[in-house]
Amino acid sequence: MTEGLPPADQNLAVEASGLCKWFKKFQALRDVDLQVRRGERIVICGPSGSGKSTLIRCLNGLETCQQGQIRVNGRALAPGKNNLEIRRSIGMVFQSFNLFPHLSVLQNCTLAQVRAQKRSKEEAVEIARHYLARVKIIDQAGKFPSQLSGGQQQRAAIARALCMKPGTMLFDEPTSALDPEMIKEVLDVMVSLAEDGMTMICVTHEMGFARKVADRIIFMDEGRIVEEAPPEIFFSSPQTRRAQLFLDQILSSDVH
Amino acid sequence: MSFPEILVGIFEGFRITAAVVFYGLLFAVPFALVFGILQHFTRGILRFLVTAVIEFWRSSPVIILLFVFYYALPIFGVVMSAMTVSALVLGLNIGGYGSQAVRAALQALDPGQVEAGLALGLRRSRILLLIELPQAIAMMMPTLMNLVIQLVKGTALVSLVTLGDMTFRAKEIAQIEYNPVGIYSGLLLAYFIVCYPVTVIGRWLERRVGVGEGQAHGL
Ligand SMILES: Nc1ncnc2c1ncn2[C@@H]1O[C@H](COP(=O)(O)OP(=O)(O)OP(=O)(O)O)[C@@H](O)[C@H]1O
Ligand SMILES: [Mg+2]
Repeated sequence: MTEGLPPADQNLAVEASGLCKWFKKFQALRDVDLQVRRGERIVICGPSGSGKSTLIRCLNGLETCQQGQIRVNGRALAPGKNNLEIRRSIGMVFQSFNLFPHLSVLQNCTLAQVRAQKRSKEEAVEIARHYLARVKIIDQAGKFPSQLSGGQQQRAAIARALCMKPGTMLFDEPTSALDPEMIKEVLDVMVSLAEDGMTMICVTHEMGFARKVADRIIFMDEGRIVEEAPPEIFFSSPQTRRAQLFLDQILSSDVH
Repeated sequence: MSFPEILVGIFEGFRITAAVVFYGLLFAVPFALVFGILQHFTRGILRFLVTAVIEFWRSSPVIILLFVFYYALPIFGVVMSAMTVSALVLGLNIGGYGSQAVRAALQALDPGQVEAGLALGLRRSRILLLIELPQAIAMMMPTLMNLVIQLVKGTALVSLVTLGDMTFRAKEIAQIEYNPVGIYSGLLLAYFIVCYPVTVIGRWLERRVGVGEGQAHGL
């Protein structure tokens, strides 16, 4: 099960080694290794189709990879199984929010607390209100997702994930479905999470955010991790031509 | 007989018609849910079997099913009352259609809903119960109401297995006096009087359970 991984290191939140993933004949991940220390902030970037989403979806078992091992907080992820404990310890924020439209914002935040973590209703509501206040939408708690702006919905989705009190948060392009004026309110929440020491793995093309909070940038291309460096180094002197091209594109479009 | 007298006569069968609808729903709703969900989740041979059961009930002519279950099964020692046969056959026929509405609604849901549930560490069964089904049922409310009306209309056949429903009463009256126009337009009116409230309740229910998308919840 855990062959290929060194013995569990208590300082690591996430360890992955030798991940290979195929969709039918198409290989989406090619021998990916990743180690994330507790409290570390990682930004993953790369061109479309490079496997960024696939990689982070493997980390909480939403995708199963055919080869390689993953350990979360020292616990091995069982391929194809439920992995309930691991999933409760990793929060995930999606590009399209994925709030539950038939539940109010508050109910979105309490559902899994009560049904997965067996917290009492009262405790769950209290925790939900705490995190809704933290992402500054406590005044929207009684509304339904369809009544919120995109930025508010994404902040509600972040609060929903935080309510599980995860040690690690995964973000898959959390701002790319948002209008420009709402991007900042979501990024502000993410920055404040980072400042509080949350372990974060973010797929994002928000390079300002990456510069500000990332300890490490991971650049992927064609299913591989091609480059891995602190932001100062990655942005000023990318080592590969692919990364150079990618940065030119991203940064030139940022200027507009 | 005057037209109102004919109507009153026909409505003597209302209790039976209503009973067939009620017991029919007791078959239809569980069948639609269980088989719709099974068809959504199974693969391969299992799915083939589930589909075969659904298609049997959905695609067979109700009138033949009624006759077979009422007249033929007793030969093999299976005896059911006319009411049981009627409720079973009409209910599972409508349930067969209903199962397709359930499956289609589950398939139409954004897969991100299930993923969000999984990412929160909810069990798959909980996700089905708490996240998928409430949305699916809201989505298929209009279809379900159509099916209830179809069930009501379908009960007109049960007079063929000796049940004294509204159609049976109409035919009885027709034997007493020759007035096909009066009697059958009375029967038509009787079914309309029964079905119309169903559509009204249905529309009210649709509004009640409407999910998000800005159509409900006092928007
Ligand atoms: N469910 C799937 N079935 C088949 N192919 C898939 C599936 N999911 C992803 N892929 C393919 O795997 C590759 C990697 O996809 P992935 O979504 O991880 O890319 P990405 O880096 O997140 O891209 P983007 O920036 O567009 O989100 C793509 O070529 C994609 O077409
Ligand atoms: Mg992606």
